[in-house]
Amino acid sequence: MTDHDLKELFATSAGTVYQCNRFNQYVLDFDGHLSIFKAVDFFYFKKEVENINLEEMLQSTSRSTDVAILMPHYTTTCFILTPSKVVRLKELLEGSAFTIQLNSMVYECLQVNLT
Amino acid sequence: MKDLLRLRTSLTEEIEVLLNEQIKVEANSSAIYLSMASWCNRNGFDNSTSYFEKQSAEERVHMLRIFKYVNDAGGRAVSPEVVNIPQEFDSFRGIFEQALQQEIFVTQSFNKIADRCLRAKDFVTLQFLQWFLNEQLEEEYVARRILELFDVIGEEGSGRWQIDKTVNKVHYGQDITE
Repeated sequence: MTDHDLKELFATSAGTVYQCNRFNQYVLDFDGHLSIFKAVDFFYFKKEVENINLEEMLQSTSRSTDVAILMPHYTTTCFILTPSKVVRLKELLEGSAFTIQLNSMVYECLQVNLT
Repeated sequence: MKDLLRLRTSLTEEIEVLLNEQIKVEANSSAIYLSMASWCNRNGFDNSTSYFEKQSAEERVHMLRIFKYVNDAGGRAVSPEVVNIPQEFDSFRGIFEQALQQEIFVTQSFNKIADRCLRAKDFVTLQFLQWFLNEQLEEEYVARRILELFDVIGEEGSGRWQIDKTVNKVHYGQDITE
């Protein structure tokens, strides 16, 4: 995978999401770690992050809720997320999903107009 | 930039979620019918037992149809969790009333998905749902007709025995030339 294959989808101060056109994958650069996702897994991961209960993390006094741990089987990264990291990761994934969907809609419009 | 989203699946996220919910509804129906079969067996209604066993098997086939479609379309079919299935029912009549309500609920659920498919212009899924919409007409018809047997035959005396005997004979025939 070269820089040429990677297209930046969305970036925040916390990280960047790229699309790899050579292997049809998404690359998440977050918290100093690179994680690679197949398209199907990327959206599943986004859903898993969305399902993290931030309110419970913040309100509970139990030490076990101080961090959320995600170990998706489809990547080699283990995500240990504090509440602030959860917020930043959610923002990054939502922005990326929006760009992905927008790109898909643009494609559809162009194809309809061409025919 | 390539459209990886469309390469992955022809389903939108919304339709995939709805279809997975429907998989759960079908699994739930299958489990409820099995529970009804057990109740009928315990109470001596042999024909109704086999009727509900057959219904349960049918619902599972429906579930698998949707399950396979979601996967075939590039989505992620989720194996459903089935919980809180009632094991006791009020009466012989009550069980068939509940069966009809269950079918009405399933029809409404399919209608909702069809409506969303139209709005999302997902005509492939809409076409796939057509079979289920036709099937629901039959399912509701049969459930309604069986329930009507309770009024036609009556439950007094050997009425319930007669109803049980007739349950498996109720069929939906669309051919008006017969």
